[in-house]
Amino acid sequence: MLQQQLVNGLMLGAAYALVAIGYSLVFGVLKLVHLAHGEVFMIGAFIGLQSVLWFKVSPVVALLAAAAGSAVLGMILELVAFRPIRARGGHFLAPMVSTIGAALVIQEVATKLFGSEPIGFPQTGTVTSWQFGAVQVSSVQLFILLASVISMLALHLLVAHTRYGMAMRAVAESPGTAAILGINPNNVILLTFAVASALGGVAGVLLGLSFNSISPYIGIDMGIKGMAIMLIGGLGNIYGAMLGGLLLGAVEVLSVAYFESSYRDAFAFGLMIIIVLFRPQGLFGSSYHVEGRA
Amino acid sequence: MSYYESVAIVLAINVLMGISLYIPMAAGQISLGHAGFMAIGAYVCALLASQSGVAFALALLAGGVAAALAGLTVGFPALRVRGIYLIILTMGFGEIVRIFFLNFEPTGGPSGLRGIKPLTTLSGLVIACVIAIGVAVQLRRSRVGRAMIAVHEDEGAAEAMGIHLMYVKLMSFAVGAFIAGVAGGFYAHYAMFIEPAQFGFLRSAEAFLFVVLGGFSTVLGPIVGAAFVTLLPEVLRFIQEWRMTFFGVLLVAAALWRPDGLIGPRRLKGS
Amino acid sequence: MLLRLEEVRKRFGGYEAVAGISFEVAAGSIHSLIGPNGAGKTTLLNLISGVLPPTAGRMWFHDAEFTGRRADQILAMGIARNFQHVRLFRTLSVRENVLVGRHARIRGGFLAAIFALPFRPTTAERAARARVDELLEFVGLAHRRDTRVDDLTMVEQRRVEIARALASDPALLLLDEPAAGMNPAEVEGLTQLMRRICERGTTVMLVEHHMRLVMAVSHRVTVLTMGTLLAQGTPEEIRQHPQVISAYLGNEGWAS
Repeated sequence: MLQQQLVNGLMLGAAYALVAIGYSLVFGVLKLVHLAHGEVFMIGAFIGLQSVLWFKVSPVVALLAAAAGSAVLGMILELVAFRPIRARGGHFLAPMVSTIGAALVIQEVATKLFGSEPIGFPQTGTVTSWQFGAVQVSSVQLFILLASVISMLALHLLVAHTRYGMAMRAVAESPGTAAILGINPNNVILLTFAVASALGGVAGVLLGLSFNSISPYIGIDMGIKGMAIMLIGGLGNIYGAMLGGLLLGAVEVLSVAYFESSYRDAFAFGLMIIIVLFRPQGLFGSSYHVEGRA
Repeated sequence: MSYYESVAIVLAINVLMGISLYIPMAAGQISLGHAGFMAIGAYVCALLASQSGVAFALALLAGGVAAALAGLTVGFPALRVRGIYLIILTMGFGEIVRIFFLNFEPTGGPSGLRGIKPLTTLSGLVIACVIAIGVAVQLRRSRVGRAMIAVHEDEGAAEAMGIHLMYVKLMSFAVGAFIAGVAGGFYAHYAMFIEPAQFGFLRSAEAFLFVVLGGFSTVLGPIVGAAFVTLLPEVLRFIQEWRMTFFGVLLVAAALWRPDGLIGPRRLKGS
Repeated sequence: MLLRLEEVRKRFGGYEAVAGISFEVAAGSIHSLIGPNGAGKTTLLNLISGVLPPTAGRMWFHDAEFTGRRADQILAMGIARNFQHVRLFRTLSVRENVLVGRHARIRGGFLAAIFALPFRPTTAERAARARVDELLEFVGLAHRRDTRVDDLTMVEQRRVEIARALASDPALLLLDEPAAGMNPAEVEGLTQLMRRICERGTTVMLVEHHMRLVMAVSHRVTVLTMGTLLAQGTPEEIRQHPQVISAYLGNEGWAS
């Protein structure tokens, strides 16, 4: 029984991890929280939904469409809501205001297009189950797990083993120095947004499959939860975000299985507060950014 | 109740929320979870005034005190972090409060509380606003107000000047939360029905916007910000269906046009 | 003895900035701390003022131990300081900055402020302002009382910081390189100021590179190098101390 719950939790957690990684990527290069990232996740879910409903494509194609569409949306957001404000300087809160505005616009447009009621996510193809010892895994769950793992692997390869990844890490460390070395920070930031948003979009489809329904309001809930995961893992640390997501998925599923199911969503925040109290830099972060004093 | 009276009441409640956030922010404590304090104040006040027959003013104060206690509870972990960590922490707090009320049967769970008596009057709110503004001004001119600004600007130097950081940060959180709780009480007895969904992140973001848009050098900032955010959708009513969208666009534009807030950087006042 | 340090150490990771320092400062004196860059002088000031906690060692003020206390507690005890790189509060006026310095000597928290009579500053507040005006007069900046800090020259800003430190009526004033960037006339002004501060009963502990100033104004000099104490004595003794000369003063000794 416990193993089953753990496996379920890891599946859920893998999708959560993808969202949190998106936040971490953006925070890493910009030192800002992308408050509209949750909406990108939501749009990704809807792109996936529409592809399946109207174009009858396979889930894999739906995922790729969601990734591509979200990446485009993410880049638009960077160009419209972040870049001009960075150029203007000013208070560091200004980008937060503009991303809240952008999030509002996206959510409202989605509501107009798709209505505010939850829509069921269709099952595609036949659903089969496999038995691994005491654990039962459905094809949907397996799909989610595979897609997440492949995405995270691809991200790791990108960040650790390509020129682009190195450029990303350079800009995250120090934009000025990176510029002197010939890296264009603006392009890197755009690329980072594209990658982060693509992951978010993929997560949207996967979670839609997992929960079987989506609505234009899932953006806010996932958004805040994603930020909490980022804090648990350590801001700006993508591996921390991965592990944080997995941890949270496991905790949530276990909480539903063994405690009051309705408080499930509060566990993310409860865990976050515990981390803030005892290890503010997160599980894997450095204390550089934290520096609070009582 | 006429349309204009209704708008004025909503404006006044928003002004209170703006001031409730302005006070902790003056000490450098940013909160994106103020809707949580508002919710606590709303529920406590509604339970006392509508269901237990307590005098409205007393119920409002009780709601404020309950919210202030919550403010102290959040304030403690907040001492250990700053900047973006603080923002995320307070967002989490707001969510925890919302989820709590979603599950708490004695206050109706997801269906919320209905049949709250319409005790909110515009004159009552105006008095509350005047008091809140007075509190903010009094604080600013006092030793504590200077300490808050010092803490906001440079904690290390402030502490070396003899300022007890914990006290300043905790108390600004508590006072701000108190005002938000009172605002919640007024809101409950105006809307006559409250549910957890009304106190979600969007509500916290709204209060945050009042302060950031209006500027937070003086108490005038959140007032202007609240006015802008409340009245603009009313003026744009003709856009009807698309008002929130247009509003979001305006926010992006405002952040671009005035990154320092509509009131601008601090004008130095003579002491 | 006003201030006493015993085997005080401060370690940053693998690097020991202060490696076991013990000395005493007598009340009513001007005591200077000199040494090459990196000797640990500013770190020591940070330890005494509570900005940094010591890794080891003990400290006493008026025979009461204060090791590990917070900076605001240490200020309340009677030790105040300025900062090497001026840390004034830029959004406050000159007068308000100095008023912040007096924070610990005025009473009244949040509730007192909220319930005070509007439009009338309290008696405590008015007394504080009078004292602050007196201090600004003392450092020669009374005419700049309501100016923004950014509109002052650097030397003026340093004097505001000194006034801010004096605002708490400290028994011990820690000064971190107050003469940096000053021309000879300004240094002379600073020398006079420090003498007047000492005459009025405040003990001064001075970290400085400006040798002429140190020799002119100090009663006692302590020399640090690489986190340890090299020599102590009167200015004359230090001036002639062979190890000090070779380690620090070199042949250029008195050029500055």
